Amino acid sequence: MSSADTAIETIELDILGQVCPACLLVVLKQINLYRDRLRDGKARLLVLTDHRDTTRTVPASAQKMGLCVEVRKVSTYYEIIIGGKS
Amino acid sequence: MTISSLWLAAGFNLIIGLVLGNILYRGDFCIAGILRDQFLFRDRTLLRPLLLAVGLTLSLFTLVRYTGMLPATPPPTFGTPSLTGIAGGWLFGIGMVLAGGCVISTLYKMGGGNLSHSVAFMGIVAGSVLYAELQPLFDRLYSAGKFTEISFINQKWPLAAEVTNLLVMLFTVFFALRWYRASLLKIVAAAHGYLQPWKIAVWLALLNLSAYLVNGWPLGISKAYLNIGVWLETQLFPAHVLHSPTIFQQTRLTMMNSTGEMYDPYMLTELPLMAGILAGSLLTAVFLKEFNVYGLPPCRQGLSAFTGGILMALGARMSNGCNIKFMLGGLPLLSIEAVLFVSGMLLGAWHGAKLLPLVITPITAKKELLSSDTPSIRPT
Repeated sequence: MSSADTAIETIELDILGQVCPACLLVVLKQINLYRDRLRDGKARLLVLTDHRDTTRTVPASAQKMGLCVEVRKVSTYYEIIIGGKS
Repeated sequence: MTISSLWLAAGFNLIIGLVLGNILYRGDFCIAGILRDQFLFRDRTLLRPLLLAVGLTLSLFTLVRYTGMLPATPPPTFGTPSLTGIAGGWLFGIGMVLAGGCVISTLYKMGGGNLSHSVAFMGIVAGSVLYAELQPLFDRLYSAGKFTEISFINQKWPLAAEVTNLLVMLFTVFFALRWYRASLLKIVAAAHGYLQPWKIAVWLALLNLSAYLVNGWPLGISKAYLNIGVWLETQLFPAHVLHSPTIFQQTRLTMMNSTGEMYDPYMLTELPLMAGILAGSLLTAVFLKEFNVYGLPPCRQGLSAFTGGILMALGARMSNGCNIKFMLGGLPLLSIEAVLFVSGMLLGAWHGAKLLPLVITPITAKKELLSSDTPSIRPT
């Protein structure tokens, strides 16, 4: 299997400094745009946010859509990684 | 009040503000967001803790009043209702949704380093000054809209008010237990130091009660923005302010100190509260290693925040208060002004939620192709 076949597309969404509900709305838009690829594990959505409530709303919404979610604190902000079936 | 008690009052309100800044930041408990998300996403997750806060506050106010520690006469900060209260609430509701936060959440989010909320803060100050300039017009509207001299339900229907208090207390206990058993009060969030919203509801009720006991009235904050706006205007345009005496008569409440001088009691309660919330959230953000300033918001979002701030201020001044005063203080006291304001605010939040998607700036996602064996997550 070539590396091109197994390549994972990472879609980075930088919403640092944004206010609610822009954070959730833009993330939902991206999830809907890449939903099949995210489910198949061909793509991952990487959200960079400093908005604390987004660590509640985005994982809850993504999990409702059947997607895997991981949240990590990096420096002064949070990374939310969405991709793969839950 | 004596001079020393004035300083004590200011210090006490500063401490309340510090606690509020800490708990609200940790739980990101934004009343504007809670009401907006109900209309925008049908998300009721945080609506339960908010209702719990109102129910607990009413229960505490009622029980403490029964002990005689709170006066039977209502606090002086609530006035006679006018239909301008509904209009003000409506403007406030739209404004808080556009600004992304109410008069309190703007502060704790600004304290955390968010510049969009700093823009909203400037909008609220600007709106307060605008109201002061137009006060004669709004005063005429207020007088025209007055329909009763009764400020509180218990003044006209004391029995109905007591029955309402007891029913709300029972409902609060019933729903608190029901939600607790169904695990509906346990919120999952990955933010460091996250404080469960039901705990914030308990804190809000306790802090509001302590403010009522010490100050003589429940929490409120919107007049602090007016104090700042008037002070700025006095510095920038002293001649204009000198010829606009109405600007200094905004708060409708003055008291006399021991030396016989009149003073504005809000300067001792709301300004220290505001300073406390800002400091409390800033210190919490620093402690949690989250404080950072990520730059100005996109132009459209900044404009929305500023406009929202102006609308909030106009709405608060038209109604003689904000969501904190009326929702967490006025409703538990069965104030008619509060009922009008909250009704208008809910309508405004609904309309704001309809408007909001039009002002959100699209954000372009960055794509990167990585092989499966390359970690796509940056090391922490």
